[in-house]
Formats: sequence, structure tokens, C-alpha cells
Amino acid sequence: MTSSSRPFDLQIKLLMIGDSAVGKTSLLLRYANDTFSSTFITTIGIDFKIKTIDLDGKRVKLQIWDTAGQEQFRTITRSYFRGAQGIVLVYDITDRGTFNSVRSWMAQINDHADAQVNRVLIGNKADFETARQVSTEEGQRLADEYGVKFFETSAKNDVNVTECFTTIAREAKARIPTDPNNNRQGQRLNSGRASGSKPGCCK
Amino acid sequence: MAASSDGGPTSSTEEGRELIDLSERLESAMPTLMSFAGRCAMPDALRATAWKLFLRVVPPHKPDSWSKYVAAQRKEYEVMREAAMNQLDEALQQALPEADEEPPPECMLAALEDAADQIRGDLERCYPEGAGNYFLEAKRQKLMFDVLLVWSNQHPRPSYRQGMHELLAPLVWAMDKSFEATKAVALDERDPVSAVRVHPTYLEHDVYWMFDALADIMLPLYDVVPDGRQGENKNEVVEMCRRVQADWLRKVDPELHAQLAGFRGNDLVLPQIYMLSWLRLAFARQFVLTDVVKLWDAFFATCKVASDDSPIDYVLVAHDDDDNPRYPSMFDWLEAVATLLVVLEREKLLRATTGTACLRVLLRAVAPEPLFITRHARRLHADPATLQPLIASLRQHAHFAHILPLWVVSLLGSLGVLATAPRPSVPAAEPAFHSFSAAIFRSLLSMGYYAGATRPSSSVTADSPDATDR
Repeated sequence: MTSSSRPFDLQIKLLMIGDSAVGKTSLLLRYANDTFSSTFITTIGIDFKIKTIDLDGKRVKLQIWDTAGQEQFRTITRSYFRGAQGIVLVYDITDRGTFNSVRSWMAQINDHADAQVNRVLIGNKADFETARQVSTEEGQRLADEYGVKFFETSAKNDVNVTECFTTIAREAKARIPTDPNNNRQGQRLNSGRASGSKPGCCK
Repeated sequence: MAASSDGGPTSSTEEGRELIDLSERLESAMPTLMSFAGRCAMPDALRATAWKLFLRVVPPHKPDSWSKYVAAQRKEYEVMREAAMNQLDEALQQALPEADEEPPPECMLAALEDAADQIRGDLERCYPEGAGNYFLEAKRQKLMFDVLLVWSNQHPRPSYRQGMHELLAPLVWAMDKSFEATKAVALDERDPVSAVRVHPTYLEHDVYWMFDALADIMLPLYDVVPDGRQGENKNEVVEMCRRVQADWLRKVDPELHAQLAGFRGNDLVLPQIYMLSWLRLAFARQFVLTDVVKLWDAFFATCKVASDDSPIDYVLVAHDDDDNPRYPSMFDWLEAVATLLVVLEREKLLRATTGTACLRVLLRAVAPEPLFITRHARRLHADPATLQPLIASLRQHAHFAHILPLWVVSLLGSLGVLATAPRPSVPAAEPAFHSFSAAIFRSLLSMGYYAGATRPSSSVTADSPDATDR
């Protein structure tokens, strides 16, 4: 799995948050490793994965942090939010409670993340239509209210997963060169590559 | 089922014989059990009993009182379980919130219902390494759910926290293994040991009190401190993480300490990022389940030793300058083992060029076998300087990594074959040393396991993405 350390143009830190058991780890492992398992263990504290992608001619190294759902309101939360450039907020379309929590997670972002941080809202487990408790329209409406993009995803069937990460990465990338706080991000020389696929928002 | 077959050898000819031996030499029960724990040699047959005594679920030195204690605890658990279940029913009968409504205001019932949801969600994802689907069986899910719910109802603050289910799992597993190993043993009901052996009817009751005792110790690591105001360092677990990476590491391995402290800004190596789950779960994810229980044998054995206990001949104890025994507390153990796990990754960490690369190494830290860990952790607890030979052998190991597994190099190092650093004065009270060497040589036989366990899961080069590049 260890690929050669190819240089990258830009590094972006993403953070995954949302209630427990909505599928944050599943989404991340689907995206980073293209695997899915029904036997993922509970995330305790935090973990992260790195994935390097070609994005609009730039080589972008994504550092994606995966948090434990119950860490909300914890003292360690702040260290997780520190320096994140994009936040992926996930709920479970088969569990209304997790959708109801979106507002308090948004408040957490307001309190702890950088003011400019990009956000995306994800309704996961879209493959489980028979158990759906939150309609696509409700999800979209909430996302519109916060002015963020919205996707319904299935980590299990690999639906919209790449699109949601590409979207948040692209939004963060568009902002970063003008962000004065970002002078630590790697800016190494590299010949650009062809861009990836266009994101498909399920609007 | 994989889990039931890998419990390791328990008894030779007569199954559960150890329990009868214990009953026949009751006056030396604690030294016997602690000695097993110190050598990582606890028979399955005795583990449940040992943990009840170690965790002070019953007073270990008053065997005559055991049956009285246990009977009262079992009765009390039934009362508490009924109360918790009634509370939960009541909570569930309250109207569900409408679609657009905010979540219900925080009250006891809602909190218990939330805890129930959280517990269910975590138990469905309870897969300790080496246990297969053991914990997914319906009866075990029910048992663990009940125990955690009752505990949450009794402890509304902080209530259930994620990770507690993985503290409970090894307890349940150990109880079950002890039951299997001793079910053929007949003991007189008046025998004190019969009160602290595993009774299938009361396994849940008894494991509740063991969990209660363990949670009581571990609680500071789960505690919720409201955000803001106080600052992060007031949090116990964050503070413990800081102590390990800053204080302990500085004493034990200054070179490594300087490396980890050298990264700045967004590339900071925050210890809580990798250490939080180590500490909260008492390393339950760093080892396979059969090794977790051996590690916990050692942790539990000294975690509640009090000064009024009769003197205990315990191979794991350190001694201070006046030759008084210093028994490591649970937190002493956690800090020592955490320090050790960081030190064991030193060569990879020293090669890393970014803080992120260090975190990746540490988040995937691989632990060697429990005897190796407990022995070195005990020495570290006694005197940080005693880790010098280990560090020297780790340095050596960087050159031999492709030929020898770490622990062989470490053994050779501790025998003075490879070590370049001067050997430290061996702390007092080390009868375990020779048995440790013997155990290491016995371990040679199972080299396949160690070779696998000590080899890094992925060869980590600094800052190399393990992701599939597109």
C-alpha cells in the first residue's frame, strides 16, 4: 500500500464529524481504501487517513480526520478542529436523531473551527431506502439553510462518496491560496496532472 | 468459534484443578494469584476469581465474608436492573419528537434512552481482535447491554461513554473462559471459593460488579469537562497523555522526546490523538484478546493493593530506595505501558520528517507480547533509566530488523550481547528475571506469532501516503 512519496502541490486537512454510528469511518475507508466492511469497530478518539488526488491540475494531499461521534462537547474537540480546512458533517438517513443533531454540530463548527472553513452535509446509508427516516428534500433544505452542498451517499454501495470528498476538497482548495493562515501547507514543485471527474451533487 | 478455541492451555490432567488448589491453600490465595499475574501465566480457571479479588469486588483477605458480599451484590444488581429497565420503558413510551422538533431537553429519561442507543450502537460494533463474532451472539449482546445500561442508570454523570463497552468485553470473555475451565469442578457450597467462582446463573450479576470496580478506576479518563474556560490541560486524560509524551518520554528517551516536541503549528504531535484510545481502553486494541487479559492480570493485580494488605510477594513490584514495595496503580501502569509503546516505535519516529508521519506511526503502533510489556513497564515505573538497554537494543534492532524479531534483539540486548549502553543496576526484587528469560525461550517456539506481531503492519516511510493514488 505504501506508494512512493510523490510530491504534492497542496495539503488539505479535512475533518469528519457527526453522531455516533452514522458511518463516518465507513465513508472514509470507502474513499481512502475503496473497502467496505460491516464489522468496523467504534472509533475511540480520532484516526486519520491520507489520500493524494489530482484535482484540477494540482496534486492535492488530503489528510482526513475521523472522529468519534460521542466526542461532541468534549474538551479535546478543539484540537481536532484546529487547522481543519474542510468539514464533512455526516448523518444517517435511517436515524432521525442523527439528523436532528446536525444543528448542534454546526454550532460546534462555529465555535471551534476556523471561520473560513468549508463544510459539506452528508446523508449516509442511502442504500437502506426501506428504513429511511429523513427525506432527501429535508436534507437539501437544511444544507441550503447553511449554504453548504449536500449529498446522499452509500459507503456500502460506493454511491457519491468520491463526489462528496472531491467537492469539499475543491472548495477548500479554491480558498486556500488566499488564506494567509495557510502558509505552512506544502507548496512543492510538481507538474500538474489532468483533473479528476466533476462532482455530482444530488440536488 | 474461533474465540472459544484460542483460550490457551489451562490445565493438564484434571480440568479446573487450579480452583481446588486455591481452595485448599486459601491463606495464600492472593500471593498465588498475584504471582500468576506477574508472570503472565494466569490459568483461565482462576482469572475470574483473581480479578474479583484484585479489583476488590470482595475483600481479598477475608474469605469468610465472600459469600455474604456476593449474595448481597447479586440481589442488589437485580433491583438495579429492574429499576433501569423500568426507567427505559418509561422513556420509550414518551412521545417521539416531531420531525422538525429539537431533540428533547436533557432530562434523566432522555439521557438514559440516549445511553441505550449509544450502547446498542457500540455493542453491534464490538469486535475485539481474536474474538471473531463472540460478542455478537444475542445472549452476550443482551448481557452486555443490561450491564452497561444499569451502570449508566446508576451513574447518570458521565453515564455510558464510548469505549466502556470494550472495557466490559474482556471481563465477560474472561468470566466465560473461567466458567468453561471450571464447570466440572465440584466445591462444597460453604467453601469460600465457591462464592467467587463463576456461577452461570449469576455471570451477569458478578460481571456487573467487576465492571463497576474497573469503571470506578477508569472514570477520570472518560470524564466530561465542559469546553472552554479551564483549558484543555485540566482534563485528566489529556493531562495523562501530556505526562507520557512530555515528562516520561523526556526522562526515558530524550532523543525521541525532542523529535516529537519539534513539530509545530498544524503539524503538532498532540499526544491525545494517538494515546486517547490506548488509555481509555487500557490497551485493549493493541493486543489480541488472549493477550489483553494477561496484560490486565498484571494491571489489576496491583491496582488496588493497599498499605494495610498483608505483605505480598509479587514479582512485578518495584522497590523504592528504602526497599519499600511500590505497587503500580492502574494509572501508573497505563502511563508506563503508553511510554513503552511510544519508545518501541522510536526508530520509525526518528526517521519521520513530519508530525503527521509520526502520528501515523503511533496510531498504528504494534505491541509485542504482554510479558515483554509488563516486565519493561514495571522497570520503567521503578526507574526510567532502566529502559536504557531496551533503547539500545531498539537502536540495534534498526540494523537487524530484517533478520530478527524485535524481542529477540531485545533479549540479546538485555543479556549484554548487543547492547552498547551500560547495563543498569537491576532493581531489587527481580525473581522474575530468570522465569522471564525462560518464558522468552519458550516463546521462541511460537515465533510465527511474534514475527507477525512485531513486524510493522506497513513499512512506514516518513510521510508516505498509504492511499491509493488516482
